Amino acid sequence: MNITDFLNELSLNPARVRPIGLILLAFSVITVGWGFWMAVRTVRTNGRLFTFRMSLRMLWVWSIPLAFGWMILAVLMVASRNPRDLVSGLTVETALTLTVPLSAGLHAALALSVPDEPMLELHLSVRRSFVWLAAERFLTVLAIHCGIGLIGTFIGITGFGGDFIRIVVAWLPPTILIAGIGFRVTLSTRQIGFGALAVIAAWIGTRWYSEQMTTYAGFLWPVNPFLPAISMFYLRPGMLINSDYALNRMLVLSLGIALVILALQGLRDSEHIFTGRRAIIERNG
Amino acid sequence: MSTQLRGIVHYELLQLWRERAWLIVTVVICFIMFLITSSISDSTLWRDSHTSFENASPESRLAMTDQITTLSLSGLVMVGLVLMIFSMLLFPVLFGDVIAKDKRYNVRELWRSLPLGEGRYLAGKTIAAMLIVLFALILCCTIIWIMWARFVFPIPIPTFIITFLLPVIPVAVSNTGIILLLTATQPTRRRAILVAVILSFGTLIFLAAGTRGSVNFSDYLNIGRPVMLRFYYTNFYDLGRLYGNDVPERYPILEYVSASQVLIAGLISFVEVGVVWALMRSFKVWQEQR
Repeated sequence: MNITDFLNELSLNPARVRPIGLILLAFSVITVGWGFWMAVRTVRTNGRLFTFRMSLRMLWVWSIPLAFGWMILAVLMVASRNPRDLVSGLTVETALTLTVPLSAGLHAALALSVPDEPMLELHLSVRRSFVWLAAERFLTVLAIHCGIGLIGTFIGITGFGGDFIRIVVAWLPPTILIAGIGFRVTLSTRQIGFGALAVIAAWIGTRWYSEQMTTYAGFLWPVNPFLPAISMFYLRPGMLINSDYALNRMLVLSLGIALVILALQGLRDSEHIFTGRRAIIERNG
Repeated sequence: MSTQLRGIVHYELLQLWRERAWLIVTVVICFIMFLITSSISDSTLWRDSHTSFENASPESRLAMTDQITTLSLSGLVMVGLVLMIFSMLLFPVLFGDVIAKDKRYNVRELWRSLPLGEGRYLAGKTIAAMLIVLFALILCCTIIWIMWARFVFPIPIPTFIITFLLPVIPVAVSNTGIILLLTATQPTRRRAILVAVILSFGTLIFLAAGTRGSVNFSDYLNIGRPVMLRFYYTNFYDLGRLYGNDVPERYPILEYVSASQVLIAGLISFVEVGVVWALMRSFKVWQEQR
């Protein structure tokens, strides 16, 4: 049996991928847990280290009304129910999953460019760790876009009806995952352009072509950020059980947080921040 | 071309070539095209048609060639559409900070001391970026043609050029040039990339707005290049064969567009680059004199 036939068989029996999803979830949760433990330990040692107002200023505040406007435009398009229209014919859920993850991802990718950061030497000489600056920027971006998403959810439900929890569960995990991808790629490559490109490519591949991804790569359901809720599965009914959607949502959410934690881990070395290379420790004799 | 302009194009080309970012984007696009090509070659519809063709006698094959080429082109159009969307979104963002980078590395002060006009500077940077995108697209399309010939069905090169290169090149190359010029006034790389992203996604909105009703003059000027999308849908996207009587409602009913209309739209797109260059040059000169 070649690889194509193997993958086709997995797509026809997607429940066989469930154990792999559970193992990935375990690893992600361990990473997230370790990251939170490090954060709590640092706060206990060093006290209050947050300057959210300054982080907000550094994130270019005009991007907030742009992201908000883009979300509102998509939600208002839900009102246009013409199925022949290429962009309308949306539901509140699809409108929010189209806009919020993308704007959060792009904003996260542009949040911190180490080579372009002003007064980098000053940041590294103060008591506050550079990791906290990066974490604060990311958390600020996340808070902004989650707020935009929640406002959009309320507006959408008020105007067009729907289940609040279901809609939030549809857009929140992919928002964190795609923002994590953008943040991680920017910090790894030290190029905000690459981070933005990674976000766009991930969004196109998983959201724009979500139907194709579910149809032709059904075995990727544990990590599909835009997997439709169980009642809307494109897979044949009965292929997956209700808890598989919960597994998918938790895995996508924890993968996003784990990506950010791993990205922040790389900022603990000041040599790496300055030069992009690890410190070389020379041993004598 | 003046010596100064040639010099800027030459050295900017070298710089962009060495950065290898365009190569990474090209590899990603080719990988995605490979996934689509393999899924098409694996599809039941294609396998059945190909099997019939292979099992037919030589005389019957000659008669079936047109039919199987049409089916193959329908699949190739899917690849072309994906390439168009990716090119529209990725390449302009990739080169969005070309001019802002000069400000970041304090090169701007250096060239302002030279007898080099804003117009030549902008033209040199834009031409270099457009040439890199053109090269990347030709490389992509060559790889796609080879993949298609290997896994699906060989398409004659003139047909391939008309269905693939002719619509995609203006979308990617001229849009990259226009968006690069429009980010020329941004003070930082971050702002330049953000503006490039907004403009790139704006082209999608323009594209959607242009796929309504009949073709008119504004569709040729539309930066979303809806003429190219209409060309694909009305010539090669054989929805009846793919879906039978059950064509999904989201596919619009569009007016037919010919290859010559695509060529005209492509030429107009390059004229648009020139117009935007002239406007940005005037704006930058006015800004300097203020």
